[in-house]
Amino acid sequence: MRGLAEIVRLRTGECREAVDTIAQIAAEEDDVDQKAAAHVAQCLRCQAEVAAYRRILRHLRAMRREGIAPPVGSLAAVLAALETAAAEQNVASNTWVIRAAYVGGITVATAAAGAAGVMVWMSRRRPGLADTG
Amino acid sequence: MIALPSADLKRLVDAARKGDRAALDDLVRVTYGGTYTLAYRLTGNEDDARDVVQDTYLRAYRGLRRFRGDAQFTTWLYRITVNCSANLLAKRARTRTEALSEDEPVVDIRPDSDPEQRMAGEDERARVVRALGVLPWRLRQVIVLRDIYDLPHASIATELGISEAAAKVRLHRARRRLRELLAADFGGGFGDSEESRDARAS
Repeated sequence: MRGLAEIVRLRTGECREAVDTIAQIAAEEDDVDQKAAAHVAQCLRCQAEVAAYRRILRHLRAMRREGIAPPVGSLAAVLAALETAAAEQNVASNTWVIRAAYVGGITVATAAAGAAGVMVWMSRRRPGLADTG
Repeated sequence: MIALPSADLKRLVDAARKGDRAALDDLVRVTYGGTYTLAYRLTGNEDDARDVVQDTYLRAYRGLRRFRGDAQFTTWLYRITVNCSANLLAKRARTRTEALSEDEPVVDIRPDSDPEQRMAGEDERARVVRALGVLPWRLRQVIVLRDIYDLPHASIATELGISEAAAKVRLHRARRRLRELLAADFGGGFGDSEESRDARAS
């Protein structure tokens, strides 16, 4: 037969092992360790812990509905930052259009020059071909 | 946050996506309070919350065209807020010379350790808020997301870029630490943290 001291020691050990389960039980979560839950169900000390954690959770959950007032001027600062970002994006986008037009222009000019060169070369080659024929 | 019917919010989002600046400003105004509150809860102070909120809206603005609309806009915005706050706090922790570790003991906020505070008779809510504020940020994050905002474990894991099992372990640890901090206010506890047990066993 176990002595009182041993029972107290074992129970305290089980209480410690159930510590995570206590918060889960208080939070009404699904994946609770069944062995620990069985201990909590018959341990007054652990049940007191569940009640204490429920009180903490009640305060935490109440915070969900409570807004914190932003400091004065912070909204205006965000709107100004967005304005700047939008302006930068426009500049970047305009720069891109100018670059695209520039690169496009060079490409077209190069292609045109190439085509002209080919035409000149072809026209100069024709008499030669006629001579050999 | 100003309560706005979801249809109105969707209209604002659609207009903002098409480049309507006024709609974008309105969108910021109606979501600002909620975003700031979340940022404050996650960071625990006003200055960081302001930085996080600004970063959040800039990122949201740049990514607005990619927002598909299959999730709630506010949910999408809150995800960015969580991400921005994690980035800011992680960056700060890396650059801090004193590098406060999660394993180091946190400030003792029990009223019996501060007679003046006890005299002031703070109510329970204020003590919970204070305890949350002194939790290391990684632990505070999971408590905020799970116990205040009621996010499922899987979503918390996704937001924090860790496995679901790791998110649960972190939550257990956070709740234990919070409970220890509030032991004097909410009755006993087991008065024996995992850390002190580990130290005794070794």
